[in-house]
Amino acid sequence: MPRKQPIAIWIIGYTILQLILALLFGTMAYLNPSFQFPELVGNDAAAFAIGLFANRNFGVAVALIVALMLRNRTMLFTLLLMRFVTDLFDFGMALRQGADGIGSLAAQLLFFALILWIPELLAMRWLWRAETVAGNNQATSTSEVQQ
Amino acid sequence: MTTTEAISTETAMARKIPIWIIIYALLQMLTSVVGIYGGYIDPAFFYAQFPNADFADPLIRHLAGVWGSKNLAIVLVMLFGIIRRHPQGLGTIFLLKGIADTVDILYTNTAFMPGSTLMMALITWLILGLPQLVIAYILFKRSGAKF
Repeated sequence: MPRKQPIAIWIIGYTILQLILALLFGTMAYLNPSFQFPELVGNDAAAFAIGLFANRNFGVAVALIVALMLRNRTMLFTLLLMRFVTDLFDFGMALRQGADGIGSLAAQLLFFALILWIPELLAMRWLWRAETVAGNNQATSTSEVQQ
Repeated sequence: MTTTEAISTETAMARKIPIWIIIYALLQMLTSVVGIYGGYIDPAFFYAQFPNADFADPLIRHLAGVWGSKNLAIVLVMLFGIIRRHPQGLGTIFLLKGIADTVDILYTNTAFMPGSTLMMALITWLILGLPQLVIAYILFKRSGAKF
């Protein structure tokens, strides 16, 4: 396996965006939780859950940094799949809690679709295809050696 | 051993996940299922150390749900890694979870749990946190990733 695998530049750019978002939300959750959760006032239970939320983002950020440094397609695919599933159900939770009016719901839907779901799906599709092609090439060269 | 046999053996090794890692992954998935239950179904379980928390508070329910989403994603992606025989995929999730759990155990839980000591946190980390990071390293090495 090569040390670094070729990855489309837009996927690297999008991964860096995901990395910035994870670090930003994680850090803000610790330093200034009321930035994301304005209702949070002297609520220990919520502060505890926000701590776990921040740690989740730090975990994602570190794993994304490792995947980028190694230029590893499987790692990136796995992390984007994990982000996609999480984002999908996070939106479900936001829906369950109820958005403030149609405008807010539309804004949330646009944000999730344009910034998260669609780019994640496109990037996963690219990575999956690149891995499949690489696997086929490896199988072909193995059969050539056998012949 | 011929070149062909060497390549086949190397490929088979790279895709093989040791049985003890699969068993450990299943145990970790069980803990995530508990997280899904606490996040989506019974927030009182998730906020066990906060008996006075207001479970009707939308913020409290939302944060529990976000925790549930994270655990759901972990279960699905771990299953994907095991079924598709992707050591690197499984290793990525162990890396992510290992980092997040390390901060959870050593800081967040200790800070909010009454009567918790650093020694208790350290022992919990040795049982739950450290093995995940070690397994991630083993899976990456076996699949041929170079650091």
